[in-house]
Amino acid sequence: MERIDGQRKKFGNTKKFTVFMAVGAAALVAMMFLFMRFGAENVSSADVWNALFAFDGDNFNHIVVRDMRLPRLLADIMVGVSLALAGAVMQGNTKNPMADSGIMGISSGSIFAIVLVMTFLPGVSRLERIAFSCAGAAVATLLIYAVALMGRRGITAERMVLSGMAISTLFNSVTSAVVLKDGTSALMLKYTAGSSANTIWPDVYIAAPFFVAGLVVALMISRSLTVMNLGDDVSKGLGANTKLIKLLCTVVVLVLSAIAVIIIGPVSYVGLMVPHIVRYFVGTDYRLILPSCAVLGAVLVVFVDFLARVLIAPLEFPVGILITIIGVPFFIFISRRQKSDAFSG
Amino acid sequence: MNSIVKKRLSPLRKGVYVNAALLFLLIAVFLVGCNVGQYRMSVGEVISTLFGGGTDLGRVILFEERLPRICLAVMVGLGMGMSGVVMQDLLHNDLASPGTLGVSAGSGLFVTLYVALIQGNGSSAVLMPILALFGGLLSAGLIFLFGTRRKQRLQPTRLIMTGVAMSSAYGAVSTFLMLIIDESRLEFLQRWQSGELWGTEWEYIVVFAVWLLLFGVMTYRQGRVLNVINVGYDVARGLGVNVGRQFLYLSVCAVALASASVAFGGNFFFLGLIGPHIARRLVGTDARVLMPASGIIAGIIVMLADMLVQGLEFLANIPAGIVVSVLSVPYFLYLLMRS
Amino acid sequence: MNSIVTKQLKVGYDGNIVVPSFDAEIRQGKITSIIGANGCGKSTVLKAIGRIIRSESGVIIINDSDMSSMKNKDIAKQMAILPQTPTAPGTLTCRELVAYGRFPYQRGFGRLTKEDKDIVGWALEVTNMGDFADREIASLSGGQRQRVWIAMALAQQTGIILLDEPTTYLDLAHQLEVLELLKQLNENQNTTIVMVLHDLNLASRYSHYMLAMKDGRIEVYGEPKEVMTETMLEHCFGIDGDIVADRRSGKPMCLSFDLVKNDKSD
Repeated sequence: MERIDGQRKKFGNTKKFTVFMAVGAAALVAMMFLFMRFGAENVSSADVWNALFAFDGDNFNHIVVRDMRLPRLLADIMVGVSLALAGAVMQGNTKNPMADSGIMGISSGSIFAIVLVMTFLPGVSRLERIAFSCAGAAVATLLIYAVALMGRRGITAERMVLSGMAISTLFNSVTSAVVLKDGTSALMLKYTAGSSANTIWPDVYIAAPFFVAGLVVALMISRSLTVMNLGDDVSKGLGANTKLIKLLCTVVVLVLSAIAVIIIGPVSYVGLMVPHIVRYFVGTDYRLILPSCAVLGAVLVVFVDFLARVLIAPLEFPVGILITIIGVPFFIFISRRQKSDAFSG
Repeated sequence: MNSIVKKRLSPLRKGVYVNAALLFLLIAVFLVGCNVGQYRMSVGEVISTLFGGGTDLGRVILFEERLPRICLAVMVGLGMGMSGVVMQDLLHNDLASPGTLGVSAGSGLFVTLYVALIQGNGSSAVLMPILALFGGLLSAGLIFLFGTRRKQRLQPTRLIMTGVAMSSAYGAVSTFLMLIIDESRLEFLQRWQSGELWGTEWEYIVVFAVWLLLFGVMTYRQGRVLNVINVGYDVARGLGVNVGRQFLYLSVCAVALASASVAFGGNFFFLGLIGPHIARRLVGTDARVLMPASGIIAGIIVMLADMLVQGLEFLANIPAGIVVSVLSVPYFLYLLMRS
Repeated sequence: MNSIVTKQLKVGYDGNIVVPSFDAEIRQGKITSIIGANGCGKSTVLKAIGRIIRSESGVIIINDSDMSSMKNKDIAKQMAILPQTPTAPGTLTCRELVAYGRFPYQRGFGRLTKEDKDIVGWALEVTNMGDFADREIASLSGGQRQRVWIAMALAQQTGIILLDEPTTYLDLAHQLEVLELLKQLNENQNTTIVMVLHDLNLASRYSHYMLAMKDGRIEVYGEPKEVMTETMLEHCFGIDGDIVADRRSGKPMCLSFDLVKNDKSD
């Protein structure tokens, strides 16, 4: 591990990492400013500043910024970070380049659980909803693992994508059944399209602790993930507790994606795109990949949600739909680049 | 040699027998299906009503309500089942189907566009399948374009991956459309996307039947060619098949068969995959017996799903496609595990 | 008498010309092996003749008629081609696969006639696969599988059979078994056999003629004793080998070899 050329190469990536983080952070701050300034109603820069640091409850623009745009912005950031990290951890954990919590059907499990609980137990609190979202994600994850591990030939990218599709279809079908029987289709559709438009402060407060916990654990396991990438046998040889790490990875993935679903609905492809772009810049060390993913994920979702708000203002696109439209070509691009032997279905 | 021939049934002959048995089963389920619903009718009553007897009320219920539904169920299954066989044989991959390749989703998008932007609850019997066919062909073309690379051999799994991704893009577009339309169209579309047998007017059924017959025959007469292509493109060329042309012809037929099912019966996602699988187990690989068997099996599956929806209180008002999905996903996952 | 004649045959993939101009006459009723190093174009030529890939230009004449003016199915009645390591759906039975060889003769729904059935039975017998007729392909060994494929080509009832490396992935005994079968066919049915072979010594032992290729061109074409020379080994394969007479067959064989030491092989 401690070979000299390895050190030298790592140094190169560390430098790139620093640049990437700096540029990413700058872009994020710029995007945040734009996000608060523009929208259905344009707010002046001074108003944005004052709304944050000298709030005046009588100024309508201040209210727009502080109580409508800021929580929504924070929601977008949390979702971007969560999905990108979940994707990166999943790709590392399963060694499957196409892994993404949306594509694999984890989000659909969450949605199902949330719809179920909202239909049959309308009085549940936000906190309880988070618990149900996690439970749904856990069930979906279990199903994915069952298919991946019980299969005869190990996990191929193709098999993962197909099983994810099947699992999503299953959950979406049952969700539709519940919704159609209950007659709440219009309401639910807004939710399942993936939009942060109705985020209010309590949504942010409740989700934040889970988000922070997931983020911290993800960063903590980043070193182990790097070692795991050398293969199970090698990492065992290096003294890594592979079982524990895999379990932690799984929990992190499902908590982060459940949080994202609670805040915004099911959003696919962020977890697929971001780690691929990040790896192109900073290499294969997860200690560098994960923080970079967090930043880029936030930038991506904030940017796309910004577009979603301004493109057809005063109407808006659901951010989930726009991301899918961007993500599909990316997915096809990656799957075309895959070596054919990875697809020997 | 002759002794062996006599001792063992040839696969083709066995396939014909199995098909006959399946057809019998189809008719049986059909007759039972006519009994299911609020108004109780015995099999005897059903048969006598079918042939002109029975009560007036019985006739109304049977001919206006149950019969069209069941006919539609059978035809949706036939179309999807046959289309699935063709796609699997053409691509040498048993995970191929109108659903997994994104062809249904493409058809679906065009129907959604039509319903959302032009028509209310989709009422033109002829236009719907043609739009669906157009969408399906366009989608198949795009998937082929994105899923293959020049200088490389055709890779079915890459096509399927592309299909899955394209489906989600179509899904995103139609979700957006559904957000901006009014509630009644929304509910129609949502039901249709989950696989509701909606085209139960006799007018639709006649168009659908003619469509199925036309493309069914066009597909079926190439059964032998399909067999040879299934063995390998190079082998087929060596045996004198113009592989490129036949591939195109059969793809168009398969898309056409699936499109009509999608247009009238909505999105039955896994039907085109499960039908051929079960059929393959029963009759083997010969497309000439596999195609009808797969169609009949898929037809039986849709009928059974519809009967559950009609007959069970807690499933009432739920699209039959949901029942099919819930039943077939576990089977599909099982296939993924062991393939 | 020639079975196949090619004139200025030009073949390539996507504008990449692999074989610029290939002129050869393949003798009727003989076994001809095409040999050469990897990438020399030997399989490409065979596939072009078997019309698995389209040639860019040039003429291919089969039994005295130009292939471009013939119907696909009519060509398939005169010439069979067995691609390298073909894969069939595993649940197919041997008899079903062999019956596909009757494809060019069938019309419509394609019920097998009495004649078809007899020919399929004969093909299975000749290849010694009669006992396995109703077994599924997936249950066969590699050698048996290759024999079934040859049986399919036989059922095509053609005077010419092209084979692309028919001994790939087979162990020594099964390699011999396949080649012996081809030899018998050649002797009993007077079938013209053209094959690409990797193993020089087997090619030398079983072929009437050998055609050695280098960089898409014919290096030398003739009887094994004319082709199996130390010069050819050096030119085509970049090896410095010893040619001796095989103790059993008397055919020339390459006994021991080294890489060519000087830079000439580039």
